Amino acid sequence: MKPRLLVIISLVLILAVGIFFRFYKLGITPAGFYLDEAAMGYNAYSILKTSKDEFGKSMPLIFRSFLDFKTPLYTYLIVPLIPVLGLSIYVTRLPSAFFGVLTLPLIYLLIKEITPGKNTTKLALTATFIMAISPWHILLSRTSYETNLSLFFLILGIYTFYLGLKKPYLFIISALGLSLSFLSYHAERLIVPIVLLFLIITNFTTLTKNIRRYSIMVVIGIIFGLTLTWSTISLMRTPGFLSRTSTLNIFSYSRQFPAGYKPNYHGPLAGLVNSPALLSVNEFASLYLSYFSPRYLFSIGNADPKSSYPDLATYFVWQLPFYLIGLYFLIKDKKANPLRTIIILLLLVSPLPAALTRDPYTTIRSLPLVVPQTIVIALGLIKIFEFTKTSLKPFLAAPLCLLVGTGIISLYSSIFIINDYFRSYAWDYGPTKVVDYINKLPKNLPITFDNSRGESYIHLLFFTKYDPATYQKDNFEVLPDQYYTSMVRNKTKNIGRINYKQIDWGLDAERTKQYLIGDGLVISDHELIVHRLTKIADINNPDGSLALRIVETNPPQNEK
Amino acid sequence: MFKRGLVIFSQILILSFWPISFFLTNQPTNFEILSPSRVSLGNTVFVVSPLDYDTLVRSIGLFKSRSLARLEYNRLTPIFTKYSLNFFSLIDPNNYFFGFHPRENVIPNQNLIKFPPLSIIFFLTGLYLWGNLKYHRLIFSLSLVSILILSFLNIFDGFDLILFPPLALIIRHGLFEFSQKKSFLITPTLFLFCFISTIDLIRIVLVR
Repeated sequence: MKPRLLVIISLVLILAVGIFFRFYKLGITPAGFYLDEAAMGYNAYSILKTSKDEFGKSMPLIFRSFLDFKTPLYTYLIVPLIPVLGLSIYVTRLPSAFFGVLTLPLIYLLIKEITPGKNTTKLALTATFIMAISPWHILLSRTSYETNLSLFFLILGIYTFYLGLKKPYLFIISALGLSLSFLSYHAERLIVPIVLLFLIITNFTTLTKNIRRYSIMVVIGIIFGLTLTWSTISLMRTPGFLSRTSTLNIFSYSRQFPAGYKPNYHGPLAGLVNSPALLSVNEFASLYLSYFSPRYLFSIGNADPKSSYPDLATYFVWQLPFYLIGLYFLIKDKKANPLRTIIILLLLVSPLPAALTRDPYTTIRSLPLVVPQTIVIALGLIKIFEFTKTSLKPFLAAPLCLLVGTGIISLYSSIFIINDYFRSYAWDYGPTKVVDYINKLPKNLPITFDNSRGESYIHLLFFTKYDPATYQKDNFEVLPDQYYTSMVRNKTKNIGRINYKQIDWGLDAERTKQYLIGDGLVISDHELIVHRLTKIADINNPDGSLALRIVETNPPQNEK
Repeated sequence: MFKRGLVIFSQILILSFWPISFFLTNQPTNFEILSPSRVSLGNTVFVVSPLDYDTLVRSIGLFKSRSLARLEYNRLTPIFTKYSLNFFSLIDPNNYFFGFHPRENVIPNQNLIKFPPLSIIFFLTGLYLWGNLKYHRLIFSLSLVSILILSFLNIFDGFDLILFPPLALIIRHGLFEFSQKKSFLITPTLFLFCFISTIDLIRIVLVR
């Protein structure tokens, strides 16, 4: 078989594996639909129907979402899909899965473009395959996270930058990619400028040598990039834009003491011992290093149940030796080449935004790190085979194939079997299913849905496909001109016959005949007895734990 | 002379963190590390907790094919999971320099700061110039064997002190290699290291 044909077949097979793990049961698994996903889906629906989001703001530049502010690109990408495919979980997750798959060939092309010498194709194919079965990348491709979209555009921007050195018109595509990456996710607002600066510095000689050839396209690219990002940059100082930064930033002491602070110590050395600057720098260093920690990478993964799969970390255990070998060769190889430059750049820069936030090892905020680490593992694998005698290669390949095979089985069972059973609670399984139950309830009684925990109103809007115009008319939270600046919330919502508010037992159970919906903490067995409630249904998570409970009130006869 | 003094003081700091933390948390009157529960078979990964066993049984029940389930989830699964977690924790630099993470309470005492956080610079230098370290093969073999054995313990806190000598040697090697570089930044860096590490040590001793 011709080598070229073999490469194409290999690439097609790798893509098939990538597509399977990203698209199979996309609308069903993870079981449930997290509130951020529902918010993006419903706001896209609202934009489609009224050109305004749920708060009545016309075509927002960043989407207000509860008290968080989401980057806009993902939501706008869902809008054209709804008329064709309808509003569903699948459609909301579709852009993420689509761009997740597209990232795979892009990784292949990038490595092919920037790797010098022999083994380029082998390295590109191996890295693409490792990415195709990466639990980290798969998880974020199967859920509506903007970070995955942002990664695609970042890689596109880098790849077309290198292509642009040969064909200058591609600088425009590079500018487009980097700008869209900047617009797609908060973390990339720090990463993209550093990457761009680094690309310019490392290719400065080439760029200045051919200044005449490049100048027009570079200027067009800059204008194009600034036009796309300017409106977002102009919002950078608004409270809305800064809300995430101020809440999560480890250098913000207004909400929390720095880690290691000893509030009970007031001795003469308190100024030094409790110095916020020293403690925060220490915390930053520990957070930054956690992104290279074998414990997180190969054993624990992200501690958030939504951000990892059960029994799987971000990488497979068997990849550890290759990761270490790859790192060794990366450090020891002193020759400057674009591949080494890009790997080191992304390795060092990608954890920066995540390390500035309090949570240890968040895979969502550090997603660009998956690219250099995957390439490092692939590099380790290639080097091992390079240094192994030909006669011994089968003895290395056989156990490796076995490990990859068992890894794929683990991946399948964790994603499609174990995760749905054990972690559906984290994916808002109860609120995802509650509308099916509500639709079966007689229409003559009102419903009160407790709002003590979560933001389930967005699930009600999404799954009932509630008319956005009516919702905007009946629910006021913020004036359009204060959309990016006001941090005031109105947690009470009116959605047709459903009142989304905190249950007032005296009023709601003792005076009004209605249905109440809440979790097991609000409507406990004790409340059932005390308020003489009739249980209509318990909505259980797949593991049998109670997610939501629906009851009917029975107020005394003389009161209404 | 000043630089030499800084190097000696840096060594003292590097060598003092772990033993001081260890003795502050394991008082001679209550030397928990030698209690029967810590040195028995019960403190090994081979003893599976009822919760882990229950999770295992429920996981197996989710598969249509029992044999596929057994391939993925069997008696070895919780043992391997715990063993690999211990192994990766023991080779994790964050464990030794930051107590895993400042906000992470792994188990009591397991996340002690074992070396000054800034000494990670010397540790990485020591690793990078690993080949120049005397007896590096012996140090590597002893460390690896120790880690492989310690990983069998359910809670390796206290017992992991046996890793102190090899790690201290690597950091000390890195410190020497670092201090011998001819750069105007070396002395200020060593001074900064001594200053910040002294504060860290005070924090450990005074505010425990």
